[in-house]
Amino acid sequence: MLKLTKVSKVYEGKVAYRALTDINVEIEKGEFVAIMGPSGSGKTTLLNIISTNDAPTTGEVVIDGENPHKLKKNALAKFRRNELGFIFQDFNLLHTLTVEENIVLPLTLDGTPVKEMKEKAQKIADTLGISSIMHKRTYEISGGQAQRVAIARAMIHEPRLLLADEPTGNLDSKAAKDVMNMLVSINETEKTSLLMVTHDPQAASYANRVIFIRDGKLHSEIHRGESRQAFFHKIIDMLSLMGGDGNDFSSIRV
Amino acid sequence: MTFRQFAFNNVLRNKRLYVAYFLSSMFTVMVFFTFAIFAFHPTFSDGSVNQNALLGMAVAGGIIYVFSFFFVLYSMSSFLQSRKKEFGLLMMLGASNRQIRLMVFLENILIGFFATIGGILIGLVFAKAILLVAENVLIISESLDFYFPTFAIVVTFSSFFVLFFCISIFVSFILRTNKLIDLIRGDKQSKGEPKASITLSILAALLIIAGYGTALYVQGVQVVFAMIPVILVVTLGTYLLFTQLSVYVIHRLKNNKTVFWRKTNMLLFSDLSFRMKDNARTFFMVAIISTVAFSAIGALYGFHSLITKGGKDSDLYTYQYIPWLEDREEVVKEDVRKMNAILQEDKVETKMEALELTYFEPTEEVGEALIVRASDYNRFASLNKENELNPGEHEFIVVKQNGVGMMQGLGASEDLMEATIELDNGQEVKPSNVIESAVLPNDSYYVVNDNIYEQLGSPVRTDWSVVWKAKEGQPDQKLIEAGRKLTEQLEDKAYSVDYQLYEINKMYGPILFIGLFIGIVFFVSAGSFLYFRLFTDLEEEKRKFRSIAKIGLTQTELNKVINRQVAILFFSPIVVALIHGSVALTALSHMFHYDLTIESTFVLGSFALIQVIYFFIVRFFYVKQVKRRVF
Ligand SMILES: Nc1ncnc2c1ncn2[C@@H]1O[C@H](COP(=O)(O)OP(=O)(O)OP(=O)(O)O)[C@@H](O)[C@H]1O
Ligand SMILES: [Mg+2]
Repeated sequence: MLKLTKVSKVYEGKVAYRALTDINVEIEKGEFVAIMGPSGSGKTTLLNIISTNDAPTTGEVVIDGENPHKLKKNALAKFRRNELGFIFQDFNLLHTLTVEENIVLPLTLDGTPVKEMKEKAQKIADTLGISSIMHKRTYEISGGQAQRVAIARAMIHEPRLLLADEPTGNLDSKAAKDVMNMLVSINETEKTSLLMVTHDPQAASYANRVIFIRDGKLHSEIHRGESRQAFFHKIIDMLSLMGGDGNDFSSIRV
Repeated sequence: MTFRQFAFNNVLRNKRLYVAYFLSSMFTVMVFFTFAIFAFHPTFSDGSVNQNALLGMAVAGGIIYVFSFFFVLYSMSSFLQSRKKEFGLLMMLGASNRQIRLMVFLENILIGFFATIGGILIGLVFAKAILLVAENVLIISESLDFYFPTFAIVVTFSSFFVLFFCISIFVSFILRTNKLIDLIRGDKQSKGEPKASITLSILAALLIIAGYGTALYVQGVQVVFAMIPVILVVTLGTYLLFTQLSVYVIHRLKNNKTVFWRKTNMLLFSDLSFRMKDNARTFFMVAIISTVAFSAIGALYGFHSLITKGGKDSDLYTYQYIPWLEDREEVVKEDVRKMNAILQEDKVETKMEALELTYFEPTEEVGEALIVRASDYNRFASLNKENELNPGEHEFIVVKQNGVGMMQGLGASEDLMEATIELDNGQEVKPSNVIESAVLPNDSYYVVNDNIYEQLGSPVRTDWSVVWKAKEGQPDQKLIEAGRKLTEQLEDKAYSVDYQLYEINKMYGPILFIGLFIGIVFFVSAGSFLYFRLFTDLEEEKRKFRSIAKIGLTQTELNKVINRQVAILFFSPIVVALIHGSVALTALSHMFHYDLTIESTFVLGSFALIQVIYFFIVRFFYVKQVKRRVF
């Protein structure tokens, strides 16, 4: 489904900065993968490269057998529309549109019949529990609601790869749990591949696999076994081993 | 929601963003249309206005149109700049370039269409007013009645349809998107500070000083030759001033922690340097455009006063008669009789004086010189209640025409002063002093005691000068009409100041009007550039101030920061333009040897005042906008 080979990224600037070094990652169809790592380790950079927001300096990205970075502009637009869904860390909803309009925007761009759009939006809103706010404008809804709207927008066109940058970053633990359950159910029912960046071990424990990055390099990865609880602890252990955001636990564990 | 609906909603719900762009487009259309109403007025097309004025109007129309093009283009590109993030997001969601271009195209056509309609409607409302103004500035015999400007509407509509269409296509160049990430990050990313080099900063100062120096140093016709190089040098200097010197100064300030970290300075300067590139460009453009406006209006106004006041001052007499060289005394007598008859017929009350002008050749160097008896001079002087001259027994007084105009042969009076005149009895006399007077219409001449005059021998040449002075309080119209008859019937041997001025004003009127019009258009557009610069970043400013307010920023501090920010934006280019303008007008006054201080002060002062008022209005709304979201 997704294959990264030797992807590196150097930010040019006054001082060139190497944000990613030789990243090799492969994700199967229908797999749910979380990416973790200390702040500044290059997670967002990696996600931006996969989502075709940014180009890698060297290396290759292949999604469904195609390298999107090599596509012509129009083909790339089509590709994004059909293959990718993106949940931004800060939602990025259009404040000129209502919730409903924001959600159907990707379909609009595709020229889907209005009736079909309405139905799809209604269905997705029901599952996400936002059908009561469909006609509000984006500044009239809460952070958690906005997050769900962003998820709805990323999912409505049934992308094959859903990319999420800290989708629970702005949420309380209850809302975070809801969002995670939602992502899992999408992942399971639609067979959507999911790649999620997070700092939250709780959220990461919903994934099938967690990849750890440090200083722009792959550090390690762990797979989920049977129990989510056990996985959660394994993640915390790994974080404290790396010395990063999980530091709170390190004194007890190590 | 179809894509079309989306584009539509996007405009409707985002009014404030579009309003600025819409208004400036509408303004441009209105200006053009108003001008068209004037230019296509039926009065002009029947051939009563001279060809040059019509050509001038066509050129002016062209300038306004080209300027409109760039103005709308600029407004639109700054409007699109502020929407970068939105475009990035749409592309992220899979919008193709074609779709975004289509959206912007539709928006532009929509905005363009309504702006054109709106501009034409507002123009129609002002049409009567503009025609009234034109009627008064221009001296046209017929009045400019209001008419329904079908042709002007058609021309305006089609011109602007083409313009908006071209610009909508132009959009694709502006939208040539680089990387998506840059779009989405868009507003967070500094557009980069231009690099300031010390060499270029010094060069900026040197260029401007050199330009100013030259402009202020040259005199007379030299000004014409110096003009183009000076304009180039100063323009380049101004560009460097804003892109280099100002950046350099701000860098220095930023590095000086005691200044930079004091109170709200950090907010102010970091912002200035963050937007330095945009600001520098805007400053430069506003400064140059305003300079053009100031200089054009100042120069036209100066010319006007030069011609009218200069003419009125130097001509004390209502009518003058100057025969042709070969005219004999009988012809002169006949002419004067004819003139008196005309004046009588028109019931113009005048007093007449006549004088036979006698030219002598006192020395080789001077050649011919006019020498006048004191008694004759005094006859003329009493007509104007001017001081009489009573030269002593052996005194030669040099009289020089006052009110120095451009036509004045320089040095004539000096030559007369240096000459030594030999009388019949062999005695040599040096002229005693120079006085300025306009009593006789001639340039420079001697006035001598009647007794000496007898000892001068016979003149080499004689001529006649006959003048009429009208009684005070007669209507100008009557004097002009009589002047017209005199000039026409006496084949230009008769001269009437009032009629001449009337003719000049009539010719000059359209130029003055067009000049004023273009000047004002330029000035107002400079104002809207500033407005755009300010409001393009409004959203971001609000966000910034809101987050700062959260960590504790009082309203007074906010006011202070905004006040300075807006003041710097509004006044730095205008101050530069005012200085440029005053140098240009000083050069102009050197060119004509005519003092333009009052005119320049008036023009530049009015512009400065307007800018101050504009500043207060814009600041009021800006502060209100920011505050509403922050507190
Ligand atoms: N546009 C840029 N130019 C230069 N350096 C950058 C740029 N964007 C990010 N970096 C650098 O690249 C590194 C990785 O950044 P990235 O945003 O990928 O981190 P991250 O893992 O997402 O961190 P966080 O968990 O805090 O979001 C950081 O050290 C950052 O300083
Ligand atoms: Mg990040």
